[in-house]
Amino acid sequence: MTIMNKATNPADFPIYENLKKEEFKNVLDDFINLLKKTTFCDWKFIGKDDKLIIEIINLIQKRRVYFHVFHEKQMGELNEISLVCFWILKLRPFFYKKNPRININLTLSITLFKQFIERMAKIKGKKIDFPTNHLLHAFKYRDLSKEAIMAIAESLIC
Amino acid sequence: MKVKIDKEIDYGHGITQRDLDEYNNRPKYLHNEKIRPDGQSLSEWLTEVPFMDGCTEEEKKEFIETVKTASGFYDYYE
Repeated sequence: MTIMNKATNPADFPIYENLKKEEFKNVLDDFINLLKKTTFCDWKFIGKDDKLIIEIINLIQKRRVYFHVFHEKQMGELNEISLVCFWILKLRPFFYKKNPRININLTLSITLFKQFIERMAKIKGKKIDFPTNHLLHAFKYRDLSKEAIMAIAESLIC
Repeated sequence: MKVKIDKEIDYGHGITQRDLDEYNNRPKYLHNEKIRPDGQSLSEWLTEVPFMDGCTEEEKKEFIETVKTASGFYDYYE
């Protein structure tokens, strides 16, 4: 018999429905804005696969029930940003129009991650030494899981 | 919410009161905190601080060049 705390029963959490077509544009624009404002890249040279981005958004939102069940809390900003970074690195929805071989997904995810760390540093009133080279290597070559990226973020801001 | 154990029920799998006490007293992880107020979008919250705010021009340049190098901007392809 599995002991289950009633407050964290997945059956209590609303069932997630994938985004409807009429919702695509607003949600997509919001997601793109998140990245546009946190990168140094000129966005006119960046192409994107809209279907993949919608899939990423659905995947991130579906993760909410996991936090409800296993952590008895709602998903926080650290979780969301880490998931965005993970799925961009994994599914690679963006490409650099001038040269598709350039790993623009790496650029976008690391700059987003850095922006989050800086935001948290501001809230906590501390200076954080962002380990750019280490994280670039990890994001590019290592088998990072979703929870690993969250753990990295947590270790930097605590 | 704490989980109570009924001593008369066999929960099976060797679960003891000590296991449940540990479960109830486990640390609450920082990373699950929701910080931004309800209704504020993630991008609005995140970009309240401009990108690389507080960094010198030299630090900005160094970061950008490091990321560009790692991403392959300066690789030469045939």
